[in-house]
Amino acid sequence: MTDDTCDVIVIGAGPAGLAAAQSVADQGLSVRLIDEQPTAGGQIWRNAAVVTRRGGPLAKSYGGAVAALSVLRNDHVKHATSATVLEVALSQTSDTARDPPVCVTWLSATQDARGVRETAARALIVATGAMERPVLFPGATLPGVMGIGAVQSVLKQSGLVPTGDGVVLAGQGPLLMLTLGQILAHGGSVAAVLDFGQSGRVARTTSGLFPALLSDPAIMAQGAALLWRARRSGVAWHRGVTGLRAIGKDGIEQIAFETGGKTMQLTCSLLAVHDGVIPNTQLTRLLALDHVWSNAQQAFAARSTPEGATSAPSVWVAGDGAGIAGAEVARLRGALSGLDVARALGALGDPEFRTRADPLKRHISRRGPARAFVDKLYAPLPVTAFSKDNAAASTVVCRCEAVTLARVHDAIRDGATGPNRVKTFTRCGMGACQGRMCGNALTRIVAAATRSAPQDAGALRIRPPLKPTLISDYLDLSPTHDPLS
Amino acid sequence: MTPDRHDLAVIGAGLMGLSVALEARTRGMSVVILEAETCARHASSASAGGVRSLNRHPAEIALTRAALPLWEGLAYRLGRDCGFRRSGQIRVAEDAEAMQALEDRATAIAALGFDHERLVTRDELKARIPAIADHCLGALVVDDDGFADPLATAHAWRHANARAGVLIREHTRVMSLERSTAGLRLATAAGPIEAGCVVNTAGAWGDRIAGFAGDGMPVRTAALQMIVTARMPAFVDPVVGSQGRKLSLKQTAAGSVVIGGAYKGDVREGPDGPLRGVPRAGRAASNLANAVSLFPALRAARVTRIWAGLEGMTPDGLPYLGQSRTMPGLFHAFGFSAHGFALAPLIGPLMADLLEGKRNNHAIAPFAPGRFDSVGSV
Amino acid sequence: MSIWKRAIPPGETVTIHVNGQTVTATPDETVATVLLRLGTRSFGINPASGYPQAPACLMGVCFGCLCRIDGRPGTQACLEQVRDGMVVETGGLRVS
Repeated sequence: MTDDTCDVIVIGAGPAGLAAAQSVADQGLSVRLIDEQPTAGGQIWRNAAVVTRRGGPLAKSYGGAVAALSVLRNDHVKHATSATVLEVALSQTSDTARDPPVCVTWLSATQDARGVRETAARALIVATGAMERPVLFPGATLPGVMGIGAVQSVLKQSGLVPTGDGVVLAGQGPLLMLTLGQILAHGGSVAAVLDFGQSGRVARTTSGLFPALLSDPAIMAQGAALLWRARRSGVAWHRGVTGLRAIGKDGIEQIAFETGGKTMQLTCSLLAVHDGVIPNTQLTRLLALDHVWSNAQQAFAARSTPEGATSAPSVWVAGDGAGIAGAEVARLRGALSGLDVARALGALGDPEFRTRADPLKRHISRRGPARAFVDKLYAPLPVTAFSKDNAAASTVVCRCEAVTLARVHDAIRDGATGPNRVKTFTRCGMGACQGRMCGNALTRIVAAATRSAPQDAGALRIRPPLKPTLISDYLDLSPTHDPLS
Repeated sequence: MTPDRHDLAVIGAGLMGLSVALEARTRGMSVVILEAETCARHASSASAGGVRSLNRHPAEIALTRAALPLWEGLAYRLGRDCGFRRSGQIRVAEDAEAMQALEDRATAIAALGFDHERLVTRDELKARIPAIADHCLGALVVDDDGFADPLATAHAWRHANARAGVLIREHTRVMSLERSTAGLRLATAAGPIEAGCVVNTAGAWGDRIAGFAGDGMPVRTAALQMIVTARMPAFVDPVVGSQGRKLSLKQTAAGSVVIGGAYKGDVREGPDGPLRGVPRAGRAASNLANAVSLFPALRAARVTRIWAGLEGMTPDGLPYLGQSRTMPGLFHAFGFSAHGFALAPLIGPLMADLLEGKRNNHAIAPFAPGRFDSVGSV
Repeated sequence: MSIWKRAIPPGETVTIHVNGQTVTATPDETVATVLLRLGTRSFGINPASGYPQAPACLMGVCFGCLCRIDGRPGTQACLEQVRDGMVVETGGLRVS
């Protein structure tokens, strides 16, 4: 039961996915672009069509979006929004033209065309981007605690900013400063910033500063401006913070934290936290691709060649989902993987591939030192850095199944030597989010407790469906709804 | 390299292997379990956890009835909860033909001298399970059947083994098996092992182990799919099946609905035999359609996880239990064909008796390892 | 009282129904951002902990925003752009 076939399926319509679709379509190949968001653009260009049309301070961070989105009007590209991938079947085949090796089962959840579809293709490009690294501390599951990226999403999606005297941003990283600036520029307010960045790190990092400046002067200048404006914003800035706690009954009311040897308590209505972003590996894990742990980014990503080819012959990865490198590099990697797919499918000859790919590769490698500098400057904090050592019983690792850090440690002591064992001992990762929110932390916790490398500790196995799916939708795939009749 | 010596080597750390190892250890043997991957990695964790004597093959009825009391005491014996509940098992008839089949079944097994399966009327069915669809006409029930949590059970057994001094060697594939002066000699990924006797509980890989001894014991590898939903408010107590449909449905203590029915995913093959099961959405949909037919409210439930575990299926659906015909000291307990879970606590004592040459009352002739010799073997 | 305020004046509006109340929204809002703007703290009760839950990511990964939308339980409110006439019920997962 295959509804449609195409040459290439691209999953994710952010900078990488859009660029990949473009470079595949440029070679005359047909593309099915599947994205779960209601509009294309990914997280960085969320609600791009509206934001860019409106202009204003937000639109400044949407450079390149309009050009990238033009691919959606390409005749070779069929774009599905509000579309969730349920599962992907891969088969080994020698004749990929006659017998497509990729079959994606997906749910179209649009109002007028709801239903499960199957699309077969000769190749798959996974461009599922990044997510904020979930951070652990007591009270983190209270309503009113969210990611800083989440606050930014609300602004981009719907033009809302947080106001009042209880808005607190906590953590570290460029997104903290960027979002702070965006909230203030839109008339919102921030009462305090809790800076978890480790003092002295800037000094230690200056060794990489000059190569970084040369490699991407624009991004480095942008970073410096953010830092400068943030510090001048007049927002109370608490440095060297540890021991964060969110306190409240049905939602956050107060926060407590330690700084300079003192415990402080603040009234709080919104606590937004951030410790960088990590690749969203849910789909590449579902496909059982080989993954590699990055020590610098403290996260797994699918193992891939510079062109994005993975351990599975018909699957490529592109963008931040293949390792965090930022939107511009994501776009370049998307374009490059599209070219590589076109070459693999015989639509592009080797010399032509090199002519097009080499400039992209040069641009990508030129930006390497800037990324290395940022990775070092905002190196991920230890997994328990936000909370106190004695807070394990009140720190939740798995939000969906309410599994605490203390229970995870008990399971490890009990012989759970890897994330999947912890899962079967405790239900950590068995809930609605299917391990998205606990997976990264779980690998790090298990590795630390068993004194093993995260690469060896491994990651949660991901099972289909990729998102929890209504049985009524699943029934679309049933050959006969009532075998008895 | 001097081989490790043990009284017993068990090949395969699924529930059957764990059960045999613990029983043998309790009887005083030194025991090592050799597991190619990790404990309970395949069929044992893709089990529906049914502790079911209902609708069993006649040859298995006595065994499952004998296993039931062992489930009652299992948590005490293993020192941990296994999630066992005497919820009952129920097999629903959705039309007249199915009702007739259930009536025939009840008559047939009464003639064999069993009285645990009982017919219930439409009204009694509805009273027991108010959420069941209105078209259901009646059911066959066993009230003292139930279910357990396969993962909790596997962990409990693994723990009890470790505590009792059984060596559990994971990631230790057995590569050959031969007779030696002292008994049997195994080549493993972690070096040679000598054992007085060997029990093959290798499930889907059982035929390969049997092949080392020249025993032709066919099994077909199946990737059995299980489906789990998000937590829902409690709506069904017993484990429910349906006459004429492939379905097994139950609700766990957490509220998740676990749906199986021997629908098969794909088997991914590797150089050492089958590697892993890959679930297929279309076949899950057929299974879900069966579930929705009995419980229409399930349409609004969300599937959170589908997985497929590899199980060895024999040509007649009955397990192999007994000694090798070609290699004395080698015993087989595999090929449970997707309904072995209920038997697990009994397989330990049963196999330990065989190892020790003790007599017992269990009729195991139908499970003879050589029963397919005359029809040819792999 | 909501802490979330419109920074950008709304353009065209649509009407949706939230827990039986009629609410005005703009088409570029998602159900989750509408609920935040209305001051909703708890989007539902976590079935494991019994405590209230609310969105943490607003991009489809945390599942803290699950609502019943147009009769479909367990729907991620942050991925649902509002449509005129949409019916939203907070309260988390429940059957039928």
